[in-house]
Amino acid sequence: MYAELHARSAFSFLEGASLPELLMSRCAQLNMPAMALLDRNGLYGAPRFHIAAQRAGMRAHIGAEIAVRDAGERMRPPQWLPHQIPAEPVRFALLAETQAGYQNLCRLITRYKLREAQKAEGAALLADVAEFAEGLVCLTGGNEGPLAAALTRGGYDEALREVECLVHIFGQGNVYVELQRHFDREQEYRNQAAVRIAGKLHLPLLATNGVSYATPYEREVLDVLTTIRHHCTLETAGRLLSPNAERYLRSPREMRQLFRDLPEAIDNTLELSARLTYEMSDLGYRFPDYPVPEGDSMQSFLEKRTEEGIRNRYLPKHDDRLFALAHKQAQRELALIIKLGLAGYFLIVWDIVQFCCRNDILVQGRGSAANSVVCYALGITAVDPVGMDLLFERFLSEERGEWPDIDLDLPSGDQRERAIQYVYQRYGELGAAMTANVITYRGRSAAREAGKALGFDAETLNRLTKLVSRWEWKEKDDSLGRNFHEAGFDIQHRRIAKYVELCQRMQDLPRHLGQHSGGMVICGDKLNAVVPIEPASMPGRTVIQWDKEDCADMKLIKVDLLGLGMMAVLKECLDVVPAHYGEPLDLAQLPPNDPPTYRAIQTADTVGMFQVESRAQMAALPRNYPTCFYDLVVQVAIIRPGPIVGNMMNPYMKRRQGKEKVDYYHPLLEPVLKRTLGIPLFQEQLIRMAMIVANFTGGEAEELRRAVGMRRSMARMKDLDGKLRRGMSANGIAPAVQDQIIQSISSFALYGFPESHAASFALIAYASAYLKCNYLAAFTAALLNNQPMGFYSPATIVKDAQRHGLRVKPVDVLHSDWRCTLEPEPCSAHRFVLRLGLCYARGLRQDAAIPLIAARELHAFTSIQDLALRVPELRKSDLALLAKIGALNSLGEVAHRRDALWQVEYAGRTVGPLLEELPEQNSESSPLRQMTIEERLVADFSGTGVTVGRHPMAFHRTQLRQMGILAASELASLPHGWAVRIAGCVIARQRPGTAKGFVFLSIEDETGIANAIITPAVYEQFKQVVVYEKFLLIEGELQNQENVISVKAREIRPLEISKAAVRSHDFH
Amino acid sequence: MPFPLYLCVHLRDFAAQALVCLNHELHFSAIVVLGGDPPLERVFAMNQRARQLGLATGMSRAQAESFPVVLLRRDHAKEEAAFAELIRCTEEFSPRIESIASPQEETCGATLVLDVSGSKRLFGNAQQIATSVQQSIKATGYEASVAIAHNAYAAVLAARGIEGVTAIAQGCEAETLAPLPLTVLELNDAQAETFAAWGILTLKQLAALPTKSLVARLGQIGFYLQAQARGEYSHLLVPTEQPDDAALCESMELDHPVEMLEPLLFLLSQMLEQVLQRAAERALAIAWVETSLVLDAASHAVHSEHRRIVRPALPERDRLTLLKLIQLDLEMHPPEAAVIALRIEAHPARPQRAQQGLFAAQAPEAGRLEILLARLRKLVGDGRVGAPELLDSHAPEAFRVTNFKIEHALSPRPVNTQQESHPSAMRMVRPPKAIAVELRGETPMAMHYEGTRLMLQTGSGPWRTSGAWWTHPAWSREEWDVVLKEEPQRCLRLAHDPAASCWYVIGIYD
Repeated sequence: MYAELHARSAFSFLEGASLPELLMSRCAQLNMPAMALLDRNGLYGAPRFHIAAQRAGMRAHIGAEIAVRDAGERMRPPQWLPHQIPAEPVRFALLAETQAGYQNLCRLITRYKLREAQKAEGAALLADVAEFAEGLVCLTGGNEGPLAAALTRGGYDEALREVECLVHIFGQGNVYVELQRHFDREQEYRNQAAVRIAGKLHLPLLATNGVSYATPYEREVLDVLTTIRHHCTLETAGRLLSPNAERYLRSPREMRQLFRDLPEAIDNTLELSARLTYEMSDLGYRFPDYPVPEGDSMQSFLEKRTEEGIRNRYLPKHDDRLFALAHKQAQRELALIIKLGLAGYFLIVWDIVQFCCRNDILVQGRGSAANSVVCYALGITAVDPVGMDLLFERFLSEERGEWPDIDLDLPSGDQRERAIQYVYQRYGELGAAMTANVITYRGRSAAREAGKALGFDAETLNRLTKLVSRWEWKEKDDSLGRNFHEAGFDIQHRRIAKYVELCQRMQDLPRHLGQHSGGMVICGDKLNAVVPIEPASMPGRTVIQWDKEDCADMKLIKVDLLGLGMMAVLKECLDVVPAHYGEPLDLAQLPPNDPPTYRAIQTADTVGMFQVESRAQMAALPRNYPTCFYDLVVQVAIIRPGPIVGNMMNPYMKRRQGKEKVDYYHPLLEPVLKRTLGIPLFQEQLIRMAMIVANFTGGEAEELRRAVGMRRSMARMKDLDGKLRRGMSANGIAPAVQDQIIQSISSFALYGFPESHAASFALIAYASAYLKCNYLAAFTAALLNNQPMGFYSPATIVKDAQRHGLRVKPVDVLHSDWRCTLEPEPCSAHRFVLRLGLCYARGLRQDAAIPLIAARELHAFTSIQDLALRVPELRKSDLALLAKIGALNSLGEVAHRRDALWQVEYAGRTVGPLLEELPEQNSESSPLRQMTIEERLVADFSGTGVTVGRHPMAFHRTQLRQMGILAASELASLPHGWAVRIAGCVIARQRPGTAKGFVFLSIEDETGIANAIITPAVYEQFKQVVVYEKFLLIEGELQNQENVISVKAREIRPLEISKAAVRSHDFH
Repeated sequence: MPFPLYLCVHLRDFAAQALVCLNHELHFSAIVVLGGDPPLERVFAMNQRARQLGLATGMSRAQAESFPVVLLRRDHAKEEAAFAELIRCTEEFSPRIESIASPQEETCGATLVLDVSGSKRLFGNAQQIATSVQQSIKATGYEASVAIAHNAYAAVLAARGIEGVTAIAQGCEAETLAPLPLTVLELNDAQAETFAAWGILTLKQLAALPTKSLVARLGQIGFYLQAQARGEYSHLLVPTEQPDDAALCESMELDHPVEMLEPLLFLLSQMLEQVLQRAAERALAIAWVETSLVLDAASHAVHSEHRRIVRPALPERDRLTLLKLIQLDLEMHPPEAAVIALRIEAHPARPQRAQQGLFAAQAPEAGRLEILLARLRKLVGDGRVGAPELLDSHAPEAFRVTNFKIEHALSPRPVNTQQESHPSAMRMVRPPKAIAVELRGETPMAMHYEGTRLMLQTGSGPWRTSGAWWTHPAWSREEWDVVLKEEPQRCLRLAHDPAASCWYVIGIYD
């Protein structure tokens, strides 16, 4: 037998070609009892390797190749031989023998990674290695190791000294002289020297294969990755590439045959494997305790805070029954929380929420946390789980044996960063870090990098990568091959065929480590002893080497501090509304059933509203006709891939409209499914269904939900399926009904929403709708200030606000702040007009705008020359931009935009200080003619992305009418089935994965938004027009059913309306 | 003093015209010329028919293919030949010609300005001169816009902006130019952006701007541009001269196909004499000579033209040396058919001058050394004379033969201590000798060489290398070091090509 103890995975980033799971599964196929993973400078792949080993019933040894700066350079070919191999430090191959060894390895990597000022490979010093050597076993390594380097550098004597040095650092019993045989003459020469050194120093020999990929076939991928790493092509890489394909995972028989002259080297692999007792099952991770006042325990402190919270939350509701229920539920939850030892966790999340409250940062928990009344009481969530009868087991259960997941939504931007920095401060640099996000090769990146490796030039690459489809929907034959074939490439050509093949083989391989959007891991002891930490690209942030899935697998607790654009909008409204309108605004006390708000939602007048603004939502809203908060919860959840794929959406709508009888799979399920009219929509319902029909416990049912949701847990799913059927049979449920129930469970569980999560989002959706309907100016300003977010571009938001009666004023250097603001206008219906901020002048730097505002506050600018002189930060191009968009029109002596442009050329000229204040001699009025309407539109869209004037379509309405083109607002009054013509600028193009290749277009004119549906056949016919044209004329059949209006396109033509660069949000 | 008179010839879509000119079938088709390297080609130029279909420069091949057009690849050689033809044609009217835009400048048009002052007696009035020039150009197959004016730049702008023949009378320049779009001016991006922002679209609008204010904003360039727009820009005509490195060409058509080399060399000698004389007039020598032999298509030649290049190490002025080099090269690479035309293109360079040291060792004369090397090359083959240079590759025998270089400073080669301890040397067997091998398992046990069975005593290996898997054919090799059992116990290096299942002896250890 043999165990492979030196293997690199693709997590050695561009130095390994196989994922850890693949290595482990190959190892299992070869009947190897154990394997060790030693990735370069990190433990990036260790959790996946460990989990794969657990599943395969194998042993996974963990280690890493550690670069050591002062141990010399790694072996390179002699100088006289042409090569491009760069100088790199040697790497020590270290294996964790014990938990202490593992912790030392993590500390060691963290030490030198954090020593770097920014994200970099980094290298340890010998002193670091010596400090953290305990519990580690050192191998002398292969080509990259210190022994090979010393042999090349100074021959046998130098190598002997080097190995003696390793023995001195790691101890006599902890150094193994490693032998690798890749059928290479020089390597064999080094092996002979290594055998002599081992004999002289009485060190054990150890055979490994220095594995870089699972099978020889993957050598090609490794070569491509090598070229990416060294920024060259396969043709020019030369000796950087592997000399042969021998670094694959060999079978024990092959290895024994290869080392038949040194059998002890093979035997020692098993002996060392037996010595390496540490496996990653115990990381020594502990969640931090929350410091409580003297006399309190964490439990008692949590109980007190919960009690307070229950009173604060429920007493104002004046509902004794609800209060009693909440109290009882809190007791039940607290008992479980305490039993599971999670009191500290809740208190720490509460502490973050408290920090946000103290610092006026809006915060709200999302996800399954909203199922917990304790979370509600602690102010973590805003949804009343008792009032809404939400299922606690979805959040926490005893059987599940894992930590609950609490996600906090924060306003994106600075406020979220403050919360993150608070966690860093509170738990220290080595106590908290962001989780990683492993960036993998996907269609485009793989196409680009493989193309570079094959030596395609930059322009070809751009074209090739553009071919990779971006639509969410993929046609059956929408493969890379088809894309290239369509673009005129001969995919039968060997080079192109190889390229397509390489692109496919690179899919999902790790490319580099990024940062998760908000997941933070916090540790009771030192986090750097649990997982290596390294600097993130963003200043002030550190990141662990594992992603969120790895953290969950390794049972590290993560608190997600997520940035949500709409939270920033709500926060801005909370500040702006009281300040301008003089009315208090409390999101917790919004009127629950505001009629204008529901009317807007029911009529799908929802541009800018959270979660309910998309085209699909707009198409569903008039049918579902939400009348209460719970309807909104359903609405948020129903337009999701899960219910759509599971064919739940239409039955629900029909039942809601009374067109279909409300029916249940079984009478037992009526209480669970009653609220959703017999259709299971939420994950909680799945859990409850399993509990009721098959007598599952809460934990078992939750396990079922997770098993259904995971593609790889087929075996577990099979067990649970059997159990489910047995349970249902015991309850006397007929086999046909059983099939129905199982089908309904499996069809939506993959994508379904937790009800609690939908409720949290519905709260924000309602708040956004309420604000839009009652404080349109403030809401629109906040929306514009927090772009990019949501479904629509600023231009559409502005036009929508204008259609609702809000006046929007253009950017003006005399009135605009950096952000969009409100200006009082008492006679207006909305009491305020919205002033676009200078941030909307595309390309204007904030560094120039701030001095401009400061100078203006001293006294107003009198002319363009005055502005240019007093704000030297403004470059001539800035002034030209401001002139072009009309932002200088209110300055004295400026007649129109072109006049301003004329003056700007003079004011912005480069002259010495003597002449700069000299007014223009013989200045006549501008000889330039005023911009035409079309020119103004083009300038507006290119300079700001929006126009506050009339919609481009409005200028051509008469002509459009003559062409028989209807306005968007006129469609509602026409009967279903009529042939119509509509036209407008495209504001959104979609080809959802769930829509069988249909394309949905939203086109806008001055009266509103019209939707067009394009069948796959029509799309193929008019593909170029649909994808590239900005203004379209669409002919087709009107579909006007249940207040949902769309045009089923038959013919699509480009429309020459304007050259304005209107933008659409595409490919959602 | 009479007013000067300038004539401008502008060939719009020159790249397309150069291709279509000799192909009459294409005259009535919509033509698009693609530039760039496949598969990334973009529309570089097109004719009027294609433009009317809605094509535009910069479109991709895929976009262009969606129109009913004929797609042609850009051909620089044809463009340059057409441009030379254009100059030749206009030289009949004036020796003073300035090239404003040529194919080398990567523009899709070609513009020439001729100083035709004082040629009224020869060619008639301005209108007649312009018409004559246009007809002369048309006779060669090209469509040109011709403008004639007393201001050179007015003629250029009119030729660019107005099709056909335009004769601008003295004082009518501004009036004629007024309706032309601003694109006829050579504006950089910033200027074009400024004028676009100002809404200035025509030369009239530019001409009407107040000059002082314009200069205050754009500087002197504003003044020049406005002067051009008003037809007042004074342009100093600088006749185009041939550059030093312009190729010297000689060509000759033969009455009968010639198959023997000797008569060809006789002709080549005369042609070389001509070009060397022209080079000597400019105090230049010949850096390299390209000989093109046009082959007789009737004699089943694979290629219609046989091209060879001879490049001496130093620029050469000696006819005999160059001729000998050409002779040796043609003897090595004879044409595949009889020759019906000859052309030589000699590329001149500054002659090399070196002062020998008084006590410096006598080196062979450069020309003679060159001939010697050429003779050797003829004897042993191309790529086999010179100095070997190792390549950055794992491939076996990865080296190439490069020209000898004189090392000025001899740097000691780093000595590897490992090699010192193993002073064995190996002679490579070139070409490798094919053998048959008997195997025990995967290990060679005996080899059959020239009818003898040789037992192998010990062997180490295999040493495996493989690469170039992305090309066809990829290579892979296994090598073994073996010792023969028989006396003398020689140590050999064997190679096995797994793809071909062949064994070779590739080296002998000394």
